[in-house]
Amino acid sequence: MPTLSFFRRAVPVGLLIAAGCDDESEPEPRQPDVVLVGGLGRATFTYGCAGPGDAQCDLDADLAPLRESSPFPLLAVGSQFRLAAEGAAYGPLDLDSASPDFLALDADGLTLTASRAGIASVVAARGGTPVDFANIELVEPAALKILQATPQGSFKGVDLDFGNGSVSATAQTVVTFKFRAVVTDADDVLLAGALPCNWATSDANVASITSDPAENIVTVVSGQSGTATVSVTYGAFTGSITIAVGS
Amino acid sequence: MSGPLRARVALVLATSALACDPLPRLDTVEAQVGEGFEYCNWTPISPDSAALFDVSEGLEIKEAVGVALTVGGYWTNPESTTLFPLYGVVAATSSAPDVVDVFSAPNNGVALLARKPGTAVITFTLAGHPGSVDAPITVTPSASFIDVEEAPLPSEGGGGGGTGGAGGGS
Repeated sequence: MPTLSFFRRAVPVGLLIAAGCDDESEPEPRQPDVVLVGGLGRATFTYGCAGPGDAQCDLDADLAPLRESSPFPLLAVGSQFRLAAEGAAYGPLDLDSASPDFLALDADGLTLTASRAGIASVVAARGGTPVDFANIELVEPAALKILQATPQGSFKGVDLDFGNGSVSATAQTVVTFKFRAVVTDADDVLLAGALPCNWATSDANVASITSDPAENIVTVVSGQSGTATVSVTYGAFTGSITIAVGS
Repeated sequence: MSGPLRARVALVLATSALACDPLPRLDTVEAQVGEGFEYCNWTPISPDSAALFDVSEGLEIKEAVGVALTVGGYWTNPESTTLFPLYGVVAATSSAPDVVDVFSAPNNGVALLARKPGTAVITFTLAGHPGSVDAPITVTPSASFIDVEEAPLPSEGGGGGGTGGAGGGS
């Protein structure tokens, strides 16, 4: 099993208490549909998330690297995603896989599992008769990356410094951090698709996880002074972040 | 047989011959690959028409890929060997749908699905015309497929290379 230990240097976090949090959160803009037009131009294939750990399906602008970049993403081998096929002259269409060895269609008829690296064709059919197809690129993940977002909200009277792999805060306040685990291919291109994910902390008193640990975006809240390691297992990869909370 | 009668019989025979004059026979199908062209290899009809190929020369497709073709049917004048285009709805059937599945679309569109490595023969017919054209299709395993256009030239790679090349597309 390929393992990549992602180690962020100790993050000096002067945290704790006070300093008013001016939370001016705005509603997230709706993410535009990611659509693939069939090779014959008779159907469209719209991407959907099969689980929370999909880099294509993001709700946080700071952690949405794929939002701007991909008309249709490269999919990680081992991941799951969904497609909805529709034809202007047909309405909703059924899905089929040209080669289940590469792309397996689940019993729900919507969820696909990328099994082998390569180009795989998905077929849109009506009543068992093929109407159109689309080719999707499946890529073997080569590395894990942990992306870091700015804290939620804006903090009055707090000197936050987000640098290269480090976070510091000089005011005494509790700070919430968000990190995202994503996989990349050998060329450092981010891959989409939901992979099994699990976050854990070595010391919840220092750094506690307040989000669903099965999502690839994790929310960590600083606690008492000390050092904790927040680790993630994402697909076949593991990574960790060391968080130091100053007093 | 009297002269006028002979003339009438000759006229009837001539008319009959005209009525039974067969429709031009489909003997050539040319194609251009649209979607999926980068996962195919073919032998171009000519260097000036690198995207066009005669389907009877065959097509190589990478495993698991879907390919869209735009095809045109022709009849060859035996005296001039000139190709004349034929018009009608193209139909295509596969000798091995588990290897290469095929379905048609409007505007002479044909989709090929390379389901697994192997070979299949796609038979093209044209509604209203006699004749058919067979296209041998080879599905190459994903790991061993080489795009001829991307392959090193013989002088660079120490041999090999291909006779055709991927090109065109839509």
